[in-house]
Amino acid sequence: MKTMHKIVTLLLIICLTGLFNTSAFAQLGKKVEEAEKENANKEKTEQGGLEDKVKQAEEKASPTEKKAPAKTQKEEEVVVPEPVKVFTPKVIEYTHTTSVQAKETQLLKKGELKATVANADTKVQEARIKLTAAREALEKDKKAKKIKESVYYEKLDKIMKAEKAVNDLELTVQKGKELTAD
Amino acid sequence: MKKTLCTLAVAALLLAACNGKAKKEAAAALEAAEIQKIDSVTMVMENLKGQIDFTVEEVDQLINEL
Repeated sequence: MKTMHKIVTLLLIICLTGLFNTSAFAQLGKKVEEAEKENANKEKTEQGGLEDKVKQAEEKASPTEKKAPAKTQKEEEVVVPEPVKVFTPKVIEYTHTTSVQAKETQLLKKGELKATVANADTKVQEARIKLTAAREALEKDKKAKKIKESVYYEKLDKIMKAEKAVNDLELTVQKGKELTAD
Repeated sequence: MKKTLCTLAVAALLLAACNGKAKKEAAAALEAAEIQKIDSVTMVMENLKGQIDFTVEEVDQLINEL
């Protein structure tokens, strides 16, 4: 009978330890984490509010200081640089519910990228041919003294800019090839 | 003896039920992680496509200016 008791208590202990590892306790842990996050957010917003108040107070204290540089800017001629176009990657949010859906979308995008890479590759080759021809023509004109030096340098600058863009494109195409390689 | 057996049975049932739920949750978490992984690669692909299109336009413009 004693051994039976021992077995029963042992089984009960096993059951209880099993229960400890189940989701009920995991959910409890999640709730605690969420509560901690909410507290942290509240503290941040409170701090942000305080910082705003301090900024407002500083602005009120020195309104003349801020207006002063505006006058000097008007007086001086400001050279506005040309806006440089830069590609900015986007954060895209997909609404896939299953991994199968996600894989299908990925396959679709992979196909699109492959086509784009192929087109861009031909574009690079065409551009290289055009650039070499343009450079040769420019050098010929310079040797024959058909163009002024200023015009020569202006055109050379344009060619170099185009070459840089082609090099950038080639690098991006290379990345695309690596990504779409099976 | 019967009482202990009954409690034991109830405990075992509870454990089995909880384990099933935990397994389902673990599977869902795994699926979510896989979706996230696939989506991140897809996003990189889409951004790279956008970048290539952008650079092709730039190259076209510069070549036409020559």
